[in-house]
Amino acid sequence: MIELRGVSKTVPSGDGTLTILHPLDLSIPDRHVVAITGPSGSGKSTLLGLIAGLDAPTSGQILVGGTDITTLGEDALARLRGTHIGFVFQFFHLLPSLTALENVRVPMEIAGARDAERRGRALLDEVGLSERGHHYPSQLSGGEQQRVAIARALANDPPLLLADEPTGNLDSTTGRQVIDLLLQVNRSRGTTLVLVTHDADLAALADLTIGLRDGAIASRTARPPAS
Amino acid sequence: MQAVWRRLGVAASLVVCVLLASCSSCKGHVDVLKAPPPTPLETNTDDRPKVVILGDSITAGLGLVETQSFPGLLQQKADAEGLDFEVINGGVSGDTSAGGLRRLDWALEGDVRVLVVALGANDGLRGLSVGEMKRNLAQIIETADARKVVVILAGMEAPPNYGPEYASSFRQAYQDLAGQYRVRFIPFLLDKVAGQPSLNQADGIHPNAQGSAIVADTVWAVLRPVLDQIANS
Amino acid sequence: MTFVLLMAAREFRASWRRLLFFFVCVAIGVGAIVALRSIIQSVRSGLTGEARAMIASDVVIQSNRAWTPEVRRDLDAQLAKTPVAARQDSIEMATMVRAERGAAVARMVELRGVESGFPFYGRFTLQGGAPYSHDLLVGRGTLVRPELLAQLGIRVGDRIMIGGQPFTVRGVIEQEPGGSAGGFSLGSRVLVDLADLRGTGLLTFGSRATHQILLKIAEENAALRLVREVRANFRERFVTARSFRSTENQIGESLERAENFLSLVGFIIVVLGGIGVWSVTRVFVQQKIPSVAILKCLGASTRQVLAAYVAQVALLALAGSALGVGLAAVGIRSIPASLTAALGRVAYGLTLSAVLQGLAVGLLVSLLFALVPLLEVRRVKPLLLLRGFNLAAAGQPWTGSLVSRLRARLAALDLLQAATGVLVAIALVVVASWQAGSWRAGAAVTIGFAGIAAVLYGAAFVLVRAVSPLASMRWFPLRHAVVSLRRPGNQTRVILLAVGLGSFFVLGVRSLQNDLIAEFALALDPKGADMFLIDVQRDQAGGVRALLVDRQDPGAPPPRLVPILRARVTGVKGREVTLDSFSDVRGRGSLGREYGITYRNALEENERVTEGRFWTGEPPLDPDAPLHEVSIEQSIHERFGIEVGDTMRFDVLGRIMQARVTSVRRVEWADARSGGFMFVFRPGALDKAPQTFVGFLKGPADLTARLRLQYDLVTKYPNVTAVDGREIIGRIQKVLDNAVLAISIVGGIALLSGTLILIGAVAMTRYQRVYEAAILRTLGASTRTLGTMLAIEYCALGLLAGAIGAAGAAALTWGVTRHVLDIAWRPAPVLLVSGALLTTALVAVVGVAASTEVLRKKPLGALRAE
Repeated sequence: MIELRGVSKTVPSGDGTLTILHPLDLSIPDRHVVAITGPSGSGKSTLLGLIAGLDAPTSGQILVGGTDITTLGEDALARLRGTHIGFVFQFFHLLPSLTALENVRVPMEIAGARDAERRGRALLDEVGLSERGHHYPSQLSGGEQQRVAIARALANDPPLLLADEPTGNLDSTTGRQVIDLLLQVNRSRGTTLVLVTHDADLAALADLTIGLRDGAIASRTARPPAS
Repeated sequence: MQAVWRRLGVAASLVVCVLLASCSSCKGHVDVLKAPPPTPLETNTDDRPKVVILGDSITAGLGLVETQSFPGLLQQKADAEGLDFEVINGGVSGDTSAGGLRRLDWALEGDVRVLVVALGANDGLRGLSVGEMKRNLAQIIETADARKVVVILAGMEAPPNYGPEYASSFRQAYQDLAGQYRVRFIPFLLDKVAGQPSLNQADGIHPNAQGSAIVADTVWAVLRPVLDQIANS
Repeated sequence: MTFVLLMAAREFRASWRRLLFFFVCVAIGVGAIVALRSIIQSVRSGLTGEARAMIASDVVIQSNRAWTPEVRRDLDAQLAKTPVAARQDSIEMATMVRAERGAAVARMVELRGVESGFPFYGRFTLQGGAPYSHDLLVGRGTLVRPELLAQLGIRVGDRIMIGGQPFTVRGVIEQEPGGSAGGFSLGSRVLVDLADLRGTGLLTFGSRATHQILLKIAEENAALRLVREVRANFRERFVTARSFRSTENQIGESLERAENFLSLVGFIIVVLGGIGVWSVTRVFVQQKIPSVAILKCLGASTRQVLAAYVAQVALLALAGSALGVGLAAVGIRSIPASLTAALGRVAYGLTLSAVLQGLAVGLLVSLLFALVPLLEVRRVKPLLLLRGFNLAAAGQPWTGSLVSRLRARLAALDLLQAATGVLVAIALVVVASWQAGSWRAGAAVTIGFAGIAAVLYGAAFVLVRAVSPLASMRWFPLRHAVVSLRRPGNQTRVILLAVGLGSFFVLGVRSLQNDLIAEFALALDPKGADMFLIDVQRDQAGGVRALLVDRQDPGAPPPRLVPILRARVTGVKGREVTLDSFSDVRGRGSLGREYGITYRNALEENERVTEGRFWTGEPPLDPDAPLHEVSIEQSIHERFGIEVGDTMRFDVLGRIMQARVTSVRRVEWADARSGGFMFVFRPGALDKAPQTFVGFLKGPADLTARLRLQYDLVTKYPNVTAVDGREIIGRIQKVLDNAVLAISIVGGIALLSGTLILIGAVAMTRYQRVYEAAILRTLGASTRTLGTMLAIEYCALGLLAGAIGAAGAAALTWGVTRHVLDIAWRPAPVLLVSGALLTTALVAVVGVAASTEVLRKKPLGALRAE
């Protein structure tokens, strides 16, 4: 369960302040798929960053698994991210000097896991790239890179997976594969999935779609439970 | 030249001061040649009879102010006694008997009545031939005699470290000359001064102010009767 | 820990090619430091070895009085406070010797009595190669110079009389350590046992002798302190002291100058090496920043991330430094033996302290420049990754006023970051001071370094401002070059700093080297005189000259006989100053002293007229003319305000003479080839005045011919003393030669490594260009356009950096020559201008060449790699 209570974000700008997010409340139940949509500049990525603890809100509380992450220090946040939150970026952001397998292993190594090798291979297998483990990011296609990124995000089996326009850089076919992979992860592992997307198809698959406009929630659309 | 000598690391010695006096690193050598002329940019009009001291740096008063050199002190003594003579400091640092002989004409120009020959120290320090020195001094005495100038010969001694043979032959040369030419004789110019640390400058060669006063007394003892005699004649 | 090591290992494996380049750049920087330090230390020990041999010991305490019991007691007390390894007495004096049998001709010699164990340093060379041993002296034995054998007509085994006692000649000295006390002597050396000397009876009341205590003191500072204290405490008692370092003579001076230069170069190479390492680290860290952000996003704590990359930088620096030490070892080995052989015993090799310093500098510099930017990462929110923000290009844009930018910087100042920076900087100053051997020098150069860096930083700002209007030009390469120059996070600052500082130091070292060698060359003239005649009388001058010319080797420069007269200034009547009487003149200090004056009709090589006109080529004046002509030296003009046109009155041995000042000359006193006179008269005036001549000549090379020349001179002109300076000049020349050689080698290596470091620093910036060039290529820019653009950009940077570096080098040279080396400053416009232009060319060529890979590469590859 993720709860945002009165969360807002402003940044200083010139003489005054610029409001990126107006105070908003939001609950995301466990195991749900939540899509955040909206035009450019509506505050989607900021919202996602706040949930991940990558940024601090100007006001309000963010509870992840019952912990108010706004009270945590940088290193505590990093530990939280390492074990509880997986992140997938639009630009993949794989470490260029590491192979695919090594990229997947990094979060486990950071957390000090012992069986990183085996679990890394398993994860690559899960995203269908068991044969490409020794390749460097520059040797992989965009879709493959994103799948490695997803595998990396799942490395420590986090209950929460955040994805920032995961298909934004991919063609529709590849994008579809990535979406399928993410949904499959949601289903098989029960991972809560929060994604920022422009993709209406993708949004349609979410349990809950939050429409943002000018830093405020403009719409909340719940998909009827699947039959 | 300065650099050449500096490069050789030459310590101050009588001999090399000849050269060093031309260089800037030897500042502070205050020598005395003669009293200054009374008016600016006029030639010397002193027409008093002259006493010329033909010598080396001991005469020039190396390391002393002009009034402390023994010729300067002699002038003061003469003035104090009312003896109307001009004492000319003919000391040239580093000069030998050979140099003295060559500049004799220049030194004797004018109304010179007395010539004090105070040369030979550099001949000794450089270990030059005693016979040669004796010949030079003899010629100086003869030339002065010929011009009816009264000669006072001031003797020198070679330092004991030159060995007994050289020292005795050196001493003998002056005694021989004094006897041969029957000139007035000061057996040793630096009598009571040489070798006395308290009377010499740091180099151990040149008298300090006190030493210079003793030298002046030594010379005055011989010079004064001569001046009296000339003044009374 | 596992994570840290794993990350390091993977980075090395993945991008080893790029890292190899980093290695090499670090290695060149560190290698230059290690090689130069090692050479400098070797050369220094060689040079001081020569200098020690000059006095046969570390310290000589001497007096021209016999030691009194009190002086002896106080000296012993003084020495008890000093770690003296060994001591012995020695006495030196002039005396007359003659052969026991044969002609009664006596010769003056420099007699020296020594004890067993003499000399502490240096080595005797005896004729026939016999080894020197004190046993040769014990029991009234003596070693003499070959000239004495010739003069007395004796052979080894014969006996000579010293102080009336017979001494057996047991050998002939070819070369002797520890020259005479005065530095040069009128007689030839005769060496005896000290006890025997005391037994001759020559030491008695009134004897003139130099009494010495020779000391061996391992610790140099203790030796120097002892010299200072003895000089201060015993001056009144006629005791002096000098160390092998004492600067009373040319050896000490040259030694000090050479050492100062070497220290300076050693120091500079640390800075240069540091610049090289810095530019490498900077690029490395910049490239790693996105990875750091990603790792943070994946849950790595700041400590883990910092540890991972600091470990990488440290490993990289250590490995590069190790490679540098290897390069240095190879480099030193490859110095041709023919060069080092001249330096005699000097063994070239790596020294431990040099290796440690190199490693320390390599590590510290990379850590300094890695830690500070890496620490900044703590504050970079990984959120930026969401924006696809290129962290590598993050930086302050080149806009806004300098003040507001500074204010922004201050506001953003991070305490930990600042503290780290300060700490590492202090560590660097410690290394630098260690290198320079003095805290003051370390701090001074650090401050100077910071000053130049600030100027260059300001220059970068001004440059960006100044070229901004060009951004509206229509010519694409120019416009984009300008845009590149002011792009945030670009290479403008790094190139200006690296190249500016680099060219500053390289050009500075180069022109200092030239100044120093020019200074030594003046003293090193191989055709210079090595025989000196004193007391040549005027009537002897012609005959002496003929004899000298007859005996000189063919091709030798003609002997010079310089007339010297004594004169005193007794009055001046001029525009600025009027001194009526001699007492007025004496009031002017040294103007009242006795001057040596001369006359001639031409200027010497080391003179030039600064005012008025010299009478070159004009006929002599009538000796009886009422007013003569005199040329004065610049210092007389400056110190006493005497001008051209003034009238001066001189007393020349009792005769008054007036002369008008017709010219002012500047004498280059340091130039040993020609002498210097404060007053030079036009010929004619002094014709009748008493004068003696001093002779300078290059004597025959053959020893027998030299001896015969001296013998014939003295026989024919008994009052003339000929001093043979060849041996001492030869020894001085050897030291100077070594110093020049060392300076040249060190300067050459500094130039080479400095250039390599700069190439590395410039080439390193290409990594920033890859992405941009690829995009421009994608957009259709031709290779030619890109090349032109790069060339313009690098030319502008190179020219500015070179110009500032050259100006700084001029200032550095001026300050160092005047205040550190104490030699004449020689402006070197050609060197500096060509240096600045070469810098420009170098930066442009390297900048463009390093980017050729970018230009050749398919854009997609570059884009994907990013």
